[in-house]
Amino acid sequence: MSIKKLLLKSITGRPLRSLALLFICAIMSGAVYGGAVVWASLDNGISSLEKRLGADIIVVPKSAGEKTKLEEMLLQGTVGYFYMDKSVSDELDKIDGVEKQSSQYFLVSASSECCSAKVQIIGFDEDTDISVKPWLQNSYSKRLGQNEIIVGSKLTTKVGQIFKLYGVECKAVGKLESTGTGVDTAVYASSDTVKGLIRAAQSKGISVLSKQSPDDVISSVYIKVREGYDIDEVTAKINLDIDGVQAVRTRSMITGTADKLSVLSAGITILIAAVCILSAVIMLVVFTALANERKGEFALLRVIGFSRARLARQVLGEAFVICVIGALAGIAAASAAVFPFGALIEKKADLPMLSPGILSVTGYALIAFSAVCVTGPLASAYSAYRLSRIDTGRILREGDS
Amino acid sequence: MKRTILGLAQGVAALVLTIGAFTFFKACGGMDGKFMACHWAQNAVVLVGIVLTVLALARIVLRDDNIRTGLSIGIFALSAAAAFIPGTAINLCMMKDMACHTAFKPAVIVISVLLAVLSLADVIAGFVLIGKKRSQ
Repeated sequence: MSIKKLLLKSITGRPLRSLALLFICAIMSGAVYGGAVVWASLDNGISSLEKRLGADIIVVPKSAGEKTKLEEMLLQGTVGYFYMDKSVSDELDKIDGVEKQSSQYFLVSASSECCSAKVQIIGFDEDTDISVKPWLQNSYSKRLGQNEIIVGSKLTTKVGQIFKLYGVECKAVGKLESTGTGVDTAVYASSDTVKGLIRAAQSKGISVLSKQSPDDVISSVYIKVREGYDIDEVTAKINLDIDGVQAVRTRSMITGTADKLSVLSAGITILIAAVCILSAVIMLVVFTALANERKGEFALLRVIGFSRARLARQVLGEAFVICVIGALAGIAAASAAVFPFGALIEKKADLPMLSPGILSVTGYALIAFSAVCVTGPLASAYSAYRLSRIDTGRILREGDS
Repeated sequence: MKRTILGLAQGVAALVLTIGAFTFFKACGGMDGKFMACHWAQNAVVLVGIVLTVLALARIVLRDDNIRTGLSIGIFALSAAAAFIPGTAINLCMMKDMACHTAFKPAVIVISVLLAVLSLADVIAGFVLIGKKRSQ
């Protein structure tokens, strides 16, 4: 019988023992791989939001309630609207240090229009925009026409499809790249389209959203600070000089989420380390116990001509085969849990998530696979050494008595 | 022994799919007295789940290897089809962060694929067994 056949016979001959070991290996690889993918997704989400905002400061009306409401809108996708006078834009021009500014206008669709939920409609100025346009260029480089919209990645509407808002048929001409945040659920349109939507809302008797027009009011202003100016100082100056508005530094808005993320990533790291240590200890104990249990079997193999080296290879080989199968099963199970249920994890964790690229995912899978395939044989190395040094005669005599 | 375990596993997966589709991973609820598209996807999955459970139970109870294999072929085809119900055959809600996209669709796909893999393994094991019996 070849050593390969003997290996397989030994593994399948004791299914319960093999299954228990496979389970431990699967848990270890699943924890390392799954934990790493979740951590990377959360990290991607927060950095994509920082890049996506594109502005140093966001100015909203004081009624927006400090920074919480805007933060909820950006991160969790909570729909809402608040307005301030358009003259704020002119006043901001006078503030020293403001290099570029672009205003946005928020509107919320009626829930019945979209068959399932309210949608945040964001009207933006294409000429001055600094936070939306860079993400539109990938999908649509032309100017937005009347009733043409760009949809966030979390909306199922595809490019070219019609999206009804207040009964107005809007054509989706582009789709934004995914950010893993609340901005993925919004619809972006030009000011003219927004005005048309307000008129449509008025004609349908939905007046709560149509009291204010983009000609008179705006919802937020995104500001890029001139190089050499301190962002905090410019933020403080806006808050001091302009009444009724609240200037928020975008980084400070993300800080709370970043803190939450660091606590969660520390938790994930501790969990991965604990699972790895525990799995390694269990493997060591199991392999040592098995070595004692299988002394007779190995003594017989020695008698029929197995060399010490071949016996050691047999023990290490068994551990390696079990680790390979267990690691692959663990990675497959973790993939089935993390990728399809990523959106659910994002919802429950209340943190932005963006899955890492295929290369990173492959890298994490290889790390998890290697960790298990090195730990298993290492844990069985001591047993292999002991079994290769057994006193064959004594063991067989003990077995006879 | 191996085929018994496979049969039981298929039964459990079919039951989880059926019960879960209207309980712990159900689609979105109604809004303003109206049902959304995902509600009909949920009904379709529950219906397919009931048929799968009946087939799986028959597969456990009946002893003939040929019938068992035939039933497993049926389970494989139906569970593979079930994976395409949410989002492909029947539309779900518009927002991808709603319950039908975050819980219902992934759970149905994962359980259906698992059931398809289990039934396929059972079909292969069945054909091997039938072949062995014929050659004896």
